[in-house]
Amino acid sequence: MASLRNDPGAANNRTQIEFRGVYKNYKNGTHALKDFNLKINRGEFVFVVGPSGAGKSTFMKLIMREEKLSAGEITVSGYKLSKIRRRQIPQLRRTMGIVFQDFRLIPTMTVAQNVAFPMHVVGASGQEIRKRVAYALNLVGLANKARSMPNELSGGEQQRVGLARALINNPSLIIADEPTGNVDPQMSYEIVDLLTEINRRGTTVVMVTHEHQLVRDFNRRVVMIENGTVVADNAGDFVPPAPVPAQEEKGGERE
Amino acid sequence: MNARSGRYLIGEGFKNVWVNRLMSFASIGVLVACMLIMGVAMCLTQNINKYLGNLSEQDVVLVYYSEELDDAAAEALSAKVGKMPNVASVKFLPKGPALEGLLEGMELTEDQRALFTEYLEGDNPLPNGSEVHIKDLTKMESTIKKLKDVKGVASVRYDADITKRITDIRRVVTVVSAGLMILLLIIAAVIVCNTIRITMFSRKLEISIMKAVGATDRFVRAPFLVEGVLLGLFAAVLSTGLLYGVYTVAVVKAAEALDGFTLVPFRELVLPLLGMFALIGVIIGFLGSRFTIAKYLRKEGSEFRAL
Repeated sequence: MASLRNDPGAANNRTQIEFRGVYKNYKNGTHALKDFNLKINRGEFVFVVGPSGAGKSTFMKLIMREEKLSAGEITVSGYKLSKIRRRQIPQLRRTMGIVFQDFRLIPTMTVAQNVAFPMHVVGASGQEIRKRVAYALNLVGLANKARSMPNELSGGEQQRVGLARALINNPSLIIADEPTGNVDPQMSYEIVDLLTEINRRGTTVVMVTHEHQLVRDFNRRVVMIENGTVVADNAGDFVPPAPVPAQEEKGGERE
Repeated sequence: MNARSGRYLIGEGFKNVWVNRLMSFASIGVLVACMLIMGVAMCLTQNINKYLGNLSEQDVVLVYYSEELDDAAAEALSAKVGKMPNVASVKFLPKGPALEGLLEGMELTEDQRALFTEYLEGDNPLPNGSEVHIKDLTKMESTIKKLKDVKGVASVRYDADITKRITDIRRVVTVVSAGLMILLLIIAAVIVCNTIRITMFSRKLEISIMKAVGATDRFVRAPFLVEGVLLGLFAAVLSTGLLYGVYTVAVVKAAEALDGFTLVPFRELVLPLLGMFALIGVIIGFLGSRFTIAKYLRKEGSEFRAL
């Protein structure tokens, strides 16, 4: 496995995600990405915008390795996705937290159980899980809803549960696919505020959205995709603030 | 996957049985129905076999010894016959008591009897013989032949017809019940697979989330396997219980209907039945879950929505 990774622990390796000359063609003949190049450093907050059909979803799916790339190379958290083996995919996904537009909470589990779920996947102890779940729910402001069922919550609250679940394993990367798409406008700002707070603690955040007002109000790096390629990127204009050392994260340190 | 995950996954399996109780109920129902029919077939087979066993007890081979052998030599030969393969038991019938029995059976008057005794002048025209029970009736022919070949055996008498009939009935019962069970097993497997498929379909969201947060295939599969095995075991215990109820009624009715024939007691059947049911339940539950989930494990994220 070591040979497939770029040694993510190396001090000079600041790259979280890198797309180099990536092509993605679907079986139905769609060319979703064409010579796609993008580099996202650790600790960055990036909005990915573009019209529907531009390739935003493909971009996200390739990062999660839900889809295989057709040509080029993608590196995510040190994994080279052109060479990744099937059994390494779970490991790759554990380096990231995913926030979905449709929340994807398990309806038969309580809020706390939903948030704890990824910790069970990595085999954390009961004590670790309780501590970390309390911390994550506190962070998203839902400590009092731990025992509620997802259907008892509003859309915004459900998305905050999704956010707590995404950050529960203390990932170095959070990818959010239209996280505000099913949430009322005021709550959208709270969600992005939370993502900003998570980013401030050192986690890379990539958020796909089509809400341009939101993007304008949060002054962050914006990557615009059209016809499967990057057409605008204000990376040079924006210098991300230095991440503050995360104190509370210690309890959730993995492996 | 470590011990903690193992405990968690087994717990999840138990929980899933309850959370998806409607589907669990359906799966158990289907399994119980199949197991009950199989159980009834097995009980019938056992009882028919016992009944035929009773019949063949009465089916006796009579071996007569040469007149050249004296009583002691004939008795020694009878003991030798008892040790031959496929001979269950042997009972020596000395000619003296046999003649007595014969005379008794003729219901003679005192005078007639005296006349007979005088005529025989101490001679006994009957041969020494043995009553022989055969173990395996299907090998009857070869055993008879061997008996005839024994030096000192004058003749062998048996009812070839009834022996053959019992053997034939046994064979038909065995083949029919085995065929019935295999058929039911296939039907049960198909129905249970379908039930599990529906269960999984309704839980594709759960599976997609598991995969998204980095669960390995084994981790995704485990609770479903535990669930399948549990459903199989529940069904096994329930079927045995139900069959016990049905059987108890049948024993009472049979005692009234079948004169003198008592059914095999349930306690003799309960262990093989429970064993068979548990085995079937666990295998079907395990394999059914495994095969159906394989399809879902190959899917990724958004493909689940298209299912």
